[in-house]
Order: sequence, then structure tokens, then C-alpha cells
Amino acid sequence: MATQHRPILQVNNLCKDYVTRGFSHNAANIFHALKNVSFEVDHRQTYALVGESGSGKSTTAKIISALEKPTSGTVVFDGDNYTDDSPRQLRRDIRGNIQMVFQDPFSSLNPRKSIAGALLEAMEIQNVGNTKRERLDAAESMLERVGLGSWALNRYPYQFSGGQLQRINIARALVVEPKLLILDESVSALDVSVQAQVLNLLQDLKEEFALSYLFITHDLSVVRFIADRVGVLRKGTLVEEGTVGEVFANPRTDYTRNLLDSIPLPDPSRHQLAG
Amino acid sequence: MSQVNDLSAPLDTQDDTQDGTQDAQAQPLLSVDGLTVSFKAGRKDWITVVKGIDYTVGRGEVLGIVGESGCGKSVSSFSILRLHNERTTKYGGSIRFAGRNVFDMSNRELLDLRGGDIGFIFQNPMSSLNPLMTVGSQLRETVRAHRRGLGKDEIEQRCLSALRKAGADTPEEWMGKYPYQFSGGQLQRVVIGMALINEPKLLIADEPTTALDVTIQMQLLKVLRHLRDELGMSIILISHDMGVVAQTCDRVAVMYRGRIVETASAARLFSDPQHPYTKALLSATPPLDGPEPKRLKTVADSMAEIEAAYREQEHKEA
Repeated sequence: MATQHRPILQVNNLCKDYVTRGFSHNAANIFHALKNVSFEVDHRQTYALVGESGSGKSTTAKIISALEKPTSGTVVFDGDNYTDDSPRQLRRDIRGNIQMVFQDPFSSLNPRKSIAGALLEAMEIQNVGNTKRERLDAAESMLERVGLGSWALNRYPYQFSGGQLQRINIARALVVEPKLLILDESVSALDVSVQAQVLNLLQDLKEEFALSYLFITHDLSVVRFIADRVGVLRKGTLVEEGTVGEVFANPRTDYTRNLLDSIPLPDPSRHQLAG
Repeated sequence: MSQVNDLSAPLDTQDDTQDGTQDAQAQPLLSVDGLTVSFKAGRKDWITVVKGIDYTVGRGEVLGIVGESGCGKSVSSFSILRLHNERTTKYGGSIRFAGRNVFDMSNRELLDLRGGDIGFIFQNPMSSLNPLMTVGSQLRETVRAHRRGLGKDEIEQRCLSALRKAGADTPEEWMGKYPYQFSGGQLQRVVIGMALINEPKLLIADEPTTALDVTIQMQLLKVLRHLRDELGMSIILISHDMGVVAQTCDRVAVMYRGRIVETASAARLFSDPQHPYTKALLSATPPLDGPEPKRLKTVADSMAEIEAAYREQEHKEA
């Protein structure tokens, strides 16, 4: 390529306004969910977006995965600006490359569909594999890769625990061979030890499939473990950005410092609640 | 379950008025002995979820109960107020609150206990409040249910002061609002206020901050600590977050598959964990400082050790 450095994802000056109207049509309330947010995710990098509820993390994720259109600004995937693409173009160029794993593992799978059904449907839409046999094999090996097996294929979501379901969601996202995976609070609902297993799995898969992650979370201890770069969102503005080492060692804003100090440490000798 | 001690009960409860510090050792506020809880699973099948646990909570003490989902921490705590459906639940052992066994209490006495001497905070504040009633009317109802014969002004004052203790900035305004008008952190304060309103001796908080942002969580943990320090309230804090427990609790019980596998002071548990399960839980949390691990250790990694220790305990108790 012409430039030696081209990020896999570029988010440029993203703004998103939501307009809420009251009963009288004149009274329109404009809520600025995102204000001029820009960042880049490099190949094989994990970029963490942190912030409190209402800070715009999920809005950003929705715009990047083209589930929502920004008010202004652009999103560029691997050199291709897809902000104003038609649904058909999106399906062809973007959906297969950017996949998402959500917070609640139960509500992101159809309860009436078997696991095989869910995985095959994703592959059929993205034209992965030529025959049903091929797709089934791909589904099976992906389930094995995330720590389950062919036994899971013909079961239904209610027969799994939360940690297993999140593995299935990851498998469902990965069978279409994406390049970028958006993980929106994907481990927040899991128990610590299950969370540790899924985090380990994500690290392995990243190596194996050369993935890039956009990791959205409010849990900074997870960020330190999994991410390379981190951006801190506050009320729709990206207040701080840098490598994980920089931000954790020397946060530049009081907001980030406060966020870091608010994490309860598993060490009773450090009295955080005093004062 | 068979011991009847209704006669001695009123005498025991009189002790409450004395300063708790001295007889905290002598007679704990709450003592759970050999508690088992089984749920009906079929016509004749019962599943034992809590398999004989013992713990005590002293006056003015904060006890933490940690464990993963399904270990029985909520089930055992709900049992303190007998909140499970009695037709499908079998209890064993005893739970003594201020000297009285809750399994010997009548429904009337239980109603007085719930929201009276024992306050309860649930994980999701939105589902513990009625969406069609203002916060004020729900608080007033709680006072009226337990303190009959109070005047209107007195009830109002109680509500306002409870909200203030729970950290509400404008309690007068809050009283007139509906639950949907609050944020999650504010609602949890309302629920804490409601639990405090009748000045309970024991507060049971079941994952009170799990659904909240870290900064809000820190504020609420400070509120809980304040209640203990200023009002001498005893608190049982149920959590799966080792950090929350380390910062808030005096003593910690670790639960695994229906048993308490380790109980220790918070200082000891975190500096020198004994049980392999406790160790595994601690190392599964990504560390915030110090060296960054390449991989996290999980409970599954030390499963053999944990199961061996668990079986040994099972054997000893049988």
C-alpha cells in the first residue's frame, strides 16, 4: 500500500444527536450523545473504550457496526469509508468483516433456534462455505475452538450457562471470518473465574485468527489485562487517549484518575472508603 | 429446628439496648448453625442447595459472603428472612436472630422482622420498587406497616432522614418522584433508605452495587460503611467482587457449592488465603497494579485441588 501505516478502523469526528420531542412539536430536545469522537484501531490491536453508563460507548459501537448512522463524521474500515453505504453494500463489504458480541449472552441468541441454526444462518448470509456440510464442519470446529464441541450443535440456548453462551456468541461472530470484533461489555455479566476463562480465550483467538478488537467496558481492571490502547469517554467526549501503560500510570484528566481510584482493590490494607 | 425457645426470647432481645461492643463476642446478633436449604425438584425429589453452613454476625460487624453464581450465597441469605416459597422449600438447622430462631416464628412475627429489625437490599433496585407509586408513598407505607400510630409529620420526618442517611442530596424532591425518574445509583439509594427506615439492627445487601458504575459503587460502599460506623448497624454484604468485599467487610466467608469453605478476617483472607478455591478466585481477578499476567488463572485450572479440599470437608461434616 502507499502508506506504511493504515489502521483497520478509523473513526473521524463522530457526532451523534438524538432528538426527543415532547407532546408539543415545537419543544425539541437535542441530546448530544457523541461529540467529535476520533480514534484509530490498528491491525491486531485491542482498543478499549471505557466510560460510565451514558457516556456514549454503545452508541459508538452501534455506529461502527453500521446499526446506526452518525449525525456527522465518518467511519473508515481498512481504507473504505462506509458511513453512507447502502444496506446492500454494507452487507457485502462490512457486516462480514465487523462482528459484534453483546453484554447479555441470553438475549443475543434466538431462544427458538438451535446453536447449529444460529451459526449456519450467519454463514449463509455471509456466503461462507459452499455446502451445508462444509458449514456444519466449520461451525463444529469453531465451537471446539471456543471450548465447546459438536455436542452443543443441536442444543438450544436455555441449555447453557452464561459463560458457555458467551463462548457460543463469540463462535457465532467468528464463523463468518471477521477482521474486527466489537465486544460490547461482553464479559461484564460473567463471574470472575468464567470471565477469566473468556478473557484468556479472547487473547488466544486474537493471535490465531489475526483479529483486532474494539473492547467496550466500564471495568478498568479488565482493560489493563486485555487492551493495548485505551480511550476514555465522558458524556460523549473522548477526554483521554493513549496506551494502557501511559493512561494507567499517568492519567492526564481528573476524570480518569477518579475512575481509576474508584475500582475497589482486593487489598483491605488500602483503605479506599476512608474520608 | 425442633428447639422451642419462645419463652426466653423476650429476655434476650432486651440486651439490644445495651452497648453492643462488649457482648458482640458473648452473643452475636445473628448466628446461623448447620443451615441446609433444599428445593423441591419433582414429586419426591429435593435438591439440597445449601449444605450445612455456620456463621455469625456480631453487632456492628460487616460480614462479606463471596462466591460465584449458584454457590448458594443468595439462597442462604434469603433464608434468614424465610423469603423462599415455604411449600417448595425445606430448611434444616437454625438461624437465630437476637436469640430467636426464625424457623420457630409465626407469619405475623416474620412480617414484623422483614423490613423492621432486618432490612434487605436486592441487586436490581428497579424491580424492588413499584413503578406506579411515588418513592414517597412507598417509603411512608414501609413506616406505617411497622410503626402504627405515628403522626403524619413524624412519618414524613422518618422518610426524609432515612433518605438523607442513604446519601440523597434533595430528599424532599425525591419523595414526590416516580422510580423511572431516577438513575440506577439514585434508585439504589432509595432502596437503601427504605431498608433503613425502621432502624434495622441487621442490613442484608445482596449484590447492592453490581449493576452500578464504579464511581457510584464507591459512593454507595461509603454509605454502607458510614451506617456501620455511625449507627452501629450489622451488615451482611453478598458479592462476587473480591475488591468490594476487601474494602467493605470486617470478616469474609467464601462459599462454594453450598458450603462455606473458608471464613477469615478480611485482612487475613486477602493476605493469606487458605483454601484453594479462595486462592483461585483471587488470582482470577485481573490485577490493577504490579506485573501484568499473560494469562489469567481460572478456577478450572485448580479444580482437582479445590474438589479434593471440598470432599475432605464434606467427609468431615458427614
